[in-house]
Parts: sequence; C-alpha cells; structure tokens
Amino acid sequence: MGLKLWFNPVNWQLLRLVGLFLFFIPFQVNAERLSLVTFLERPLVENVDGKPAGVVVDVVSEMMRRAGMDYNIQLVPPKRALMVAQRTQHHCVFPIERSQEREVFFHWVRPVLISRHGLYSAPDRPIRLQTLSDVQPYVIGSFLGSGVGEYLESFGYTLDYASRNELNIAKLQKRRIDLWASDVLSATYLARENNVKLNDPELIFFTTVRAMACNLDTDATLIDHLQVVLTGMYRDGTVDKLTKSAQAPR
Amino acid sequence: MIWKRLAGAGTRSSALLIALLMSVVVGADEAQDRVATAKKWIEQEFRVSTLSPEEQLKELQWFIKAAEPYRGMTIHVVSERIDTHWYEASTLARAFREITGINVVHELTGEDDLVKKLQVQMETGQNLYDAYINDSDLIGTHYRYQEVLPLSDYILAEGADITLPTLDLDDFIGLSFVTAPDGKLYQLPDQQFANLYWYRHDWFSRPDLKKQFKRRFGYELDVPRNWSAYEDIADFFTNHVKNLDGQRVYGHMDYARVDPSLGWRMSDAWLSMAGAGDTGLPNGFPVDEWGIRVIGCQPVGASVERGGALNGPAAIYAVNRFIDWLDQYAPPEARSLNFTEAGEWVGKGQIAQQIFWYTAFTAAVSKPGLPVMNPDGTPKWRIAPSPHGAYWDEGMKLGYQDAGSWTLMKNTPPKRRDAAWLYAQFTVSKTVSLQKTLKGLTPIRNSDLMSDAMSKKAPYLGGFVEFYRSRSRDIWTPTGTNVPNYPRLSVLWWKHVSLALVGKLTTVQAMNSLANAMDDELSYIASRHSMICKPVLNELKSQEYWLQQPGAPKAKRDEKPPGETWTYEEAIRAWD
Repeated sequence: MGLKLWFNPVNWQLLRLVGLFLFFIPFQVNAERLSLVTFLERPLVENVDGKPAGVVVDVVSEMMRRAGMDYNIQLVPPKRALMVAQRTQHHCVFPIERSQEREVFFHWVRPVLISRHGLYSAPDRPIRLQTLSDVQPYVIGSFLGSGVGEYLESFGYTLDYASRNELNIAKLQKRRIDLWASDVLSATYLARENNVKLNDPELIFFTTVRAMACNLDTDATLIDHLQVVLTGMYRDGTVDKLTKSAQAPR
Repeated sequence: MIWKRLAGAGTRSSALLIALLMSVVVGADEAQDRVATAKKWIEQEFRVSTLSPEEQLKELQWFIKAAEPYRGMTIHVVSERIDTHWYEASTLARAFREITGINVVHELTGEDDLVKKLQVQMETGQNLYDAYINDSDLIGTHYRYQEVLPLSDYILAEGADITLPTLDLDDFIGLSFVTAPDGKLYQLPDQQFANLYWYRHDWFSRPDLKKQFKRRFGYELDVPRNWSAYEDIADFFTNHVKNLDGQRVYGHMDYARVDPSLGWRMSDAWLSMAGAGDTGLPNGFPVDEWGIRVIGCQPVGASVERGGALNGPAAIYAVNRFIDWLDQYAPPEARSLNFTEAGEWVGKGQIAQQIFWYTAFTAAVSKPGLPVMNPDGTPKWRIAPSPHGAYWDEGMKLGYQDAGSWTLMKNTPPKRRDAAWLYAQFTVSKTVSLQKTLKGLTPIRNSDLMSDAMSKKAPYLGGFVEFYRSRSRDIWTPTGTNVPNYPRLSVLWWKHVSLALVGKLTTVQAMNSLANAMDDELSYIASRHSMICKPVLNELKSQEYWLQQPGAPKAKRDEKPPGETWTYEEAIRAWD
C-alpha cells in the first residue's frame, strides 16, 4: 500500500477516531490489590487526621477508582517509602521523580504531577536571573532528598540543604541562603502558611514529571491499564480540575 | 496630510497624537537599543562566523523585527545535557533575550528524561515545553503519530513570516535524518555527534609495540578494519602489554551498568556495525539496525520468525562480542559505568582503543594537561572509522550519528510555538553556529565545517574535522524510520540484553526474548495507538525459511575471519 493512500486526510481522521476509541476501551482488570505508600510533601501530600490527603493523593485516588482497583494508601517517611515499593510485592510509591538511575528498579505510571521549579529570592533582596548560569555566585537553599537540589549541585552550584523544605523560608529571610529552589506549588503554599510575601520566582529553571513507581513484580498489564486511565484523566481535563487551585504560574 | 487631520481633531486627538508620537519615538529608541545590543554580541561573542559582521547584523535585525509580536513572553525549551546545549542555555538564550526581548528558559536534562517528557506531552496533551531538542532517532515515531509539526509544511504556511530568510536548509548536513518517508522535514538539526573508533595513535606508532604485535599476530598494529583485528589488538594490550609507562593499560573500553544507556549501546549501532541489517542509507531497507523489517512503511516484525533480524546470527554475534570483550579486555570498572560516566574515561590514559566512542566527548578529552594530550595541545589519540563485523556488507551504514534536532509539537499553543521557532532558528543561524560548533564540536552546517576556523582547529581534534568533511558523515546514521515508537520500544533493549550480561540467560535466550517482546510491543501499539503506517506483523515462518532469503536476516558466517588493519592515512582516505 502506497504512502499516498495512508496520508489521505479522510483516512487519517478515521484512523484517529478508531485509535482514540481503542485507546479508551474498557479493560478487564486483574483483581490484584495494590498497597500505595506516600510521604509528606505539603501541599502535594498532607497528613489530615492521620490520613494522606492533598492534590497528588486526589489524582492517584481518582485513577485507582476509575481503574476499578482495590487499594489502600499509607503515609511513611520518604526513604522508607521508596524501599518498601522497591522490595515488596504489590506496593507502589508516589509521587517520585522518574530518573535514569531509578528507571530499572520499578514499573512506572506517570505523570501523577507535573511541577515547575523556581528560584526565589528574599522579598527585600531581589536577585535578577536571566539564565541558570547567573546562579553561580549564590548559595541556594534546598532540602535533603530533593532531586532538584541534586540537579543544581551536579552543575557545580553551592547548595545548602535543610531537613525540610519549609525551613528554607526562614533561612531566606535570615540571609543564610541567597536563593530558594522549590517547586512553585510548594513555595506558594508554604509562603502563605508562614505569612511571607514571596515574589514571583526569579527564574523557573526546571520541570519535573512525578510518577507512581511500582514494584517490579507488579503485573505489567495492570501498569499499562493504570497508564491508560491516567492519560485519559489528562485528556478529559480531570487532572487540570484537581490541580487548578494550585496551578503553577508560567 | 495625516498630521494635519489629526492635529485638527481636537484635544482628545491631540493627546492621541502625542501618545502615538511617543510610542513611535520609544519604539524607535528600543529598536535602536536592540540593534546596538546585537552589535555588541557580534563583537564580543560571535566573532567567528561564516558571515561578515555586516551580514550578521542584518540577520540579527531580522530577528529583532520578527520577534516584535512575542516580546516579553517566556518560552520553555529542553534539551539533553552536553556542552553544546550548555552553551545555548547559558549564552545563546541570554543573547536571544537581549536582542529580541523574548525570554527563554532552556532546561538541560538526561536524554532518557527528555524522551519521557516528550512522550508525556504527546500522550497527555499538556504543554510541558514549547520546543524540544530531540534526537532524530524518533523520526519514525514523529511521522507515524502526527503529533509533531512537520516543519516543511510550517515554514511554507503559518510559519512563513517567522522563518529566517537566511536559514539555508541545504547547508544542514543532517537533513536526511529528520526527513520522514512522506518526504517532509519534521525536525531541524541543532547538534550532531557520531560514534567512531578511538585509539592511542602514539602507542600504535611505537616501534617496539608494532614489532611485538606483528610477531604475535602476523600483521601490522594499526587501525583495525574488522572486528577480528579489534579483538586481537584488545587482547594484545590487555593481556600481553599489560603495563605501559608505569600504569596498567587495557585494549578495550565500554560501559555496561544496567541502565537505559545500556540499551542505547546496543540500539545505537552495535548491531549495525556487526552487520545485522540490510544495505541502504541512511538506514537499511527493508531491515535496519534494530532488526525490524518493514513492508513499505509498515513494520512487520523484529524476530527472525517474522522476517526481522533481532535474534538472528548477526545480532547474537554482536551481543556475544559486546559481553566477551567487556569481560576479557575492558577495565573492571566498565561494568558499573553508564554513558555519561564512560565518555571521558579514555582521557585517563589507560585505554588503547575503543570501538564505539561518542565524539560528543571530544572537547572533554582534549583538555590541556590530560595524559592523552601533547604539550603543544595536539592529541595523542585519533578517531577513525569503526571496524565492521563479520556480517557487514558494502553499502550498509557503519556507525551511529545522532542529530539532536528542534522539534515542535502540534499541541503547543501557536504563539508559544512561533516564539520557540524563532529561538530555535537563532541557535542554528549562521551568525552563531560556527562559534557554537567550536565550543561544543557538534557540527550541523557544511559552511561551518568548510570554514578556515575549522581548518585551523583540525590538527587539535584528532581526525574529527576530516571525518565531518568526508562522505562518511552520511554512513554514520541515527535510528531509522523502521522504529514506530522509539520511547516504548527502546526500553526493551536494556531490559533483555542485561539478562545476558548478568548471566541470567544465554545470549541466544536473551535475544529470542528481546525479539519476541519487540514483536509483542509492535502488535500492542498497532492495536491501541492511533498512527499511520502502523505495524502489521508477518505470519510466523521457520528461521530456516528467512535465513535462506537474500539480505537480512543473514545466515551464520565465519565470525573470526583473518584480522585486517590499515594505516591512519588509509583509514581517513577511505572516508572519501
């Protein structure tokens, strides 16, 4: 069959429709129960009366509901969450950054969240940044375990790590750091909570795609199904609605 | 006349007139400021160019004018993390901002992350980035899924007014890599690098070593033409020479951490160097280096049983050599390294040769003071054509060349996409491209390669310029259009090859499982994805049937023919 026929616009539209239909056809789910583990990272994941809540929890819960999956969610410390999902059958961890180094240890469903990361200066001490190379002379605050902190450090920048992200607001005000590297959603939320009037980020410098990572023993068909459901939630605007109140500025 | 009419129309009109005049004056001032800024950049940064300063200024004035509707916008672009893109992200993005008034956030990330982000934008429709610099390896994906804007259509229609008149597409050396079977250009090359043979020219020139080698193997120690010679040289340095100038040396270098980059090691060209595919440039037809057979534009299978070559004798030979050489001749650290960590390893001065070395690391291993550099700044190493395996035939691609290329998605809002297109063109414009090439050594324009500046640089780059000035640059090519979904299919390589690498399966078992998984995935994407030229698997037939047909998959050959070498001068002349 020649290319001309394949590129006929009428056929192409038809193909798209058929493809979209096939993309969303119902799927017979294996009755495997998944245990999900997550960790505090406000406002993405919060502890409300001992239960996980927050925007990413909402996205994951909706995905599981639509997929017809039986599941439970537990809050555990970040390092333990990763270890549990890596070592225990039927366990998944979210929201974590999918990286080349982690790729081989999990099955992945993504994105449970797309984050923009910015560099914030103290409101009374703005620092004009055009590109990431302008950051060279400054001390940047981040938190232990932050992938974005490691990203900046890999370029040779000076990082000062706090144990938790929210501590960086005080460090910024006390001039212990020049810039705070944080995802925009968290920075806005934490500044509001601490009654700090934060300027817009001096530079949005990195985008991360957060994922749910599942133990390698998890049925690959199930992972594919969850991925199809999650993609559908982006396509129909559900994720947008769930995250709208905390949309990152561009 | 218009002044009189406006002036006579009352106070309100007078105010309007003043505002208009002010804006004209301010606009004129701003335009003048931007021209002055452009001049400053030409004088201070873009001093080396194939254009005269006057031509450069004219080109930049075009950007100033074309950028007017987009001034003040911030666009997001992303690329992999190599020197060339660092130069773009830190210097060219700043120049573009100052000259045009369009802000650019140019992110750098790992190649694997980049591909996955592109995949997320394709699948979810979310506007993660306004443009991607994405390997031309994805050309088969881009034209099938029709989510990427065909640039050849765009520059004739909605992008016509914002397409640089001096873009000069014919000057790009990698256009065939980004042109799909439908004849359309889907991407624009931004940087290119190849995989070539790397070796210690100084060691290979030592009379004592030459004499020892000839006595042992019966032919000259020189640039290997085939894998037999490569293997002999590896054995010679690792097991017989062992120590040189007081340090342990090795006859082979590689990387093999279980990681996505292990897959690229295989999918980038190991199988094509072995000779697994068919003849044809830029890629084998109907079977290319991934072992995937096509009929027309439709993939019909990767396994030999369906007419592919992924588990054929040539592919198994390739993986066996990869593992054997790693274990027998490479330094022990090689098994724990990935692509990024291994690139600069040859600069330590312990490696005699590497069959498959990325020229993107040329700048890194040319740094003064390295043990592989002479005091006068010339290298002790050379790069030459990679030796070919026992299944390779004349007319086949011989190695891998990547063209990281600007890619615009259809689902990006048009105004953002247009602004990103301006930045993309700026990074490859003749005003800046030669300077960028000298910084990162990833050439894209023939005019830059033929420039006096590159001639002056040539003696310091160990054969790099000679390679890119020769016809060989057409024989080193990226993944071809046989691969209908690069992100989904590429992950299969490391998952299956690693099973043989760690000894869980034999090579034959691992390649059978890889070929079957590739067929299954072809079938899956055909059934669940919307695309043109979608896969339709061939009916299963016996391996014997397919191995008796002409071309790939090829029946077993003598895998250890006599070793052959040639001099460096002969090797580089072969490129012509």
